[in-house]
Amino acid sequence: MIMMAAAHAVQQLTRVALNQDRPGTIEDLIEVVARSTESQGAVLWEAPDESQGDNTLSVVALWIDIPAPIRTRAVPADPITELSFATRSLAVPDNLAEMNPTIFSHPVNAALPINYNDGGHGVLSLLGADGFSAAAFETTVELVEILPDLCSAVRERQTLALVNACNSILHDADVESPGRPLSRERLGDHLSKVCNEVARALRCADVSIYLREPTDRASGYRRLSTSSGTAPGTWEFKGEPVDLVRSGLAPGSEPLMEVRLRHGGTVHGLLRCQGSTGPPHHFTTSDLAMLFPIAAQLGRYWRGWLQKRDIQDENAAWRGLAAGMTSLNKLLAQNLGREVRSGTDDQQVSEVAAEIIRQVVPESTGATVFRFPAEADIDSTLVPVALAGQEYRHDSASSASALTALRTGLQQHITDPEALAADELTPEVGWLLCTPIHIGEQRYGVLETVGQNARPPANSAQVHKIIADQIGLYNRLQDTLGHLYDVRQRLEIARRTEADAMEDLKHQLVSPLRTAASRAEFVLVGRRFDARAESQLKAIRGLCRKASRVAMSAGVFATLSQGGQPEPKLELFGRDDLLRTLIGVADDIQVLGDPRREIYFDVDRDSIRQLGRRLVQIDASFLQQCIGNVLDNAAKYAYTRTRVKIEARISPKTVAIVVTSTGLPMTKEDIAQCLQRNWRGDTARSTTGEGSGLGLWIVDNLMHAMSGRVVIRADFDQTRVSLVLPLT
Amino acid sequence: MPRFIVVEDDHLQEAPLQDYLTSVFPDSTVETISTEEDFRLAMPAMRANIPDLVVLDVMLRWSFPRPNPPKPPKDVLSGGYYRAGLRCAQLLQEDALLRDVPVVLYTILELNDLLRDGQQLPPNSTYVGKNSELDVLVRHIRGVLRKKSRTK
Repeated sequence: MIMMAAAHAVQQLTRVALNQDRPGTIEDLIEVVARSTESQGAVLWEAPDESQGDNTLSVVALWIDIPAPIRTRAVPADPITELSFATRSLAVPDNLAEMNPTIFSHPVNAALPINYNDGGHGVLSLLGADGFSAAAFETTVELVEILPDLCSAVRERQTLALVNACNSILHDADVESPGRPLSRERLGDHLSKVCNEVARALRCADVSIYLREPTDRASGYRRLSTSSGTAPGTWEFKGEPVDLVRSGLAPGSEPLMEVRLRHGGTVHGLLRCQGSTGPPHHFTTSDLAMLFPIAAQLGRYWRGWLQKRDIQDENAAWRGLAAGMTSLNKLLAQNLGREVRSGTDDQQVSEVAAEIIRQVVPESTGATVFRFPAEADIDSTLVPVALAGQEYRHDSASSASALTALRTGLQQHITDPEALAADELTPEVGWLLCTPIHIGEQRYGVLETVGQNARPPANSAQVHKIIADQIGLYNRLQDTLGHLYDVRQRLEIARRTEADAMEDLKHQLVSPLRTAASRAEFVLVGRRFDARAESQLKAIRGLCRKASRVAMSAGVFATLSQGGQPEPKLELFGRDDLLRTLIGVADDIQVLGDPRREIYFDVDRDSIRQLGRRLVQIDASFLQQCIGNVLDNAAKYAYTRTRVKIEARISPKTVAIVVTSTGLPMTKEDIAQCLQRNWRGDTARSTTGEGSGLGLWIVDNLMHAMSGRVVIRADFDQTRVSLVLPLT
Repeated sequence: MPRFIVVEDDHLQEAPLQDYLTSVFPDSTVETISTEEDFRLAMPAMRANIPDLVVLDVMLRWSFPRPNPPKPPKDVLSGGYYRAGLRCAQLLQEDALLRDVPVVLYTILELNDLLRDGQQLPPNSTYVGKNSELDVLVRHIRGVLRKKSRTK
């Protein structure tokens, strides 16, 4: 009979523990034990700190017919229970009758030791006023035998149920926002549900989840969710978390468990259980073990959420970058389309670029575009041209990191607080990214961005590189276009100059012929040869010679323009030949000169006769051309009522035909350049305006062809042109 | 009695032109101006005694060299010597009293060279090339004067 009752009780206890419809609790098991032994109540104890030498017993579960508030209160073990724990054997009141042991005012009938599966020890206390029958004893012994296994089974089922509940909550969170991560606030709401589940399962007063963003500069973990309803974010867990359990039985302490939320070797936060709404009123390593799968779930979910959020941020950044680049490119196209560069163009581009960075990398708090002045020394200070966001540097004019980026051509990524401080950055700055703006070896500047987190967002290095490359490309295009514009302008000037020179040559060629024709007409109409006719014929001769000189100039010009050199037909000239040539050319110029200007050409015959019997090897037409051009210039630029002196200066090896005139002054710069093609002095250009700038260039080339040279000296308005030829 | 002004900086061309005009228009008076500067200085006098026609060379020097000359106006400095006659014609065109004075641009330049870079002849001006004989110029002047007398 007794055996049957015990078997029935075991069956009942097992059914409760393994019920598929409603998972049983340890309280349920205790109730079955109490009822099976006809006790008024039962209490299951354990010694959570036994391994540390503390045998204080604490209630694991109890079933007793008393009001709930009293039942949930912590209660110390009675002497019978303690005796059983100490002796690891059955204890009954008979042993300590005088002590009248009770629990919640119920007399303790018996206490039996329990050996839990995790190695811990405890006691099952049975309550009742009617004593402990033999049958009850037998049943109790049977039940105590299997109770540890069933407690473990119940715990495992509780753990599984808790894991399933958390899974379900996190699944709901995913379903709520399938395409993108939940907002941090909504995530906090869902995790609070997890906290509630854990708190309910473990009867904790508070369960909180603390997390840290990978980019957080602070070393602590901020509370995101809690079961106790206090506002999240107001608590911070300092230091590095470890997995721990504290029973809370020591005087002045409360139960505490902390489990790290880890994923892939990284600790992201912790799950913290504190206080008890028991029983039990303590935590054990078994409770801690229950938290591990939950912590793993949470760590995995948080990592996933971070990844989703990073991807979302990254996508938003790329979209923002695409939009920003479109607007930047519009501006660049606008600027590049203008032939005349505005001084504000580059600054405008830099400002837009800095603003794009601020928008595309929302974590950035400030961005600066530095310009590297063209031709500047590589170690010189960069010039800040645009700032978006907040000021972030004590001295905005310098950036050692930016200079390093410029020098090395490599992106500088700085998060070390000491290095940041050394670069004059304000304490709020957590990261600094300096991206060189360059195309190949050509450096244009640096794009610098800062933020307050521990490190920049994942894709910011690429974003900066793309924008820096775009600015670099713009600068290169600006340079190239500027160069092309310069070339075009130079070509245009050259084209105009050539056209002007051609017109001038035509003018010089056609005008004398036209005038000669008119004068010949007068002579013919007059039909007599008198003094006037003679004067006209002399003018006609001069005009024809002038036309001939101009035609020859055109020929030399053509030869030189094709890269050739005029070929002289050399002959030996004596003093008489030279004198005749000089007088002839001077006469022509005199005849053709405007008599109202009263400019006279004097040939110093004596100076030429000093040549004696020495000879000079020249091309006669070249010499006429040279002297004619020099005297033409003298006639053009001499003041009214002045004399132009033509003389020879003879040295042992050379003869110099020197033309001295008084007229428009030549500066040193004029003298240095006046033999160049198309050169015209500023004074001459602004006074008479005429001239092609070819005359002296042709003279110089013809003199070189005769192994001679042109020497020009000026003393204010006195100009002396010497045509120096070697004597044979 | 027509009154002509000839603006020509080459004295070798100026005299025959003056002689020819005087011989063809015996009642006429022909005044000559040799530089662009002198032309500008002569404008007040022209307003007081409006000429019937102005013959303008195009490649025209600004002034003859002299010590310490004043700086030419900006339009002369930027426009240069090669189109000085066009500038003079434009000055007449812009003058309320002188805008109806016909101008004959008498130049060695071809018309298409003259109008290079998109320049236009002022409305008061016509073109005669210097390559032609003087009687071509005179026939042109006669035509201009006839047209002018009809529109009065």
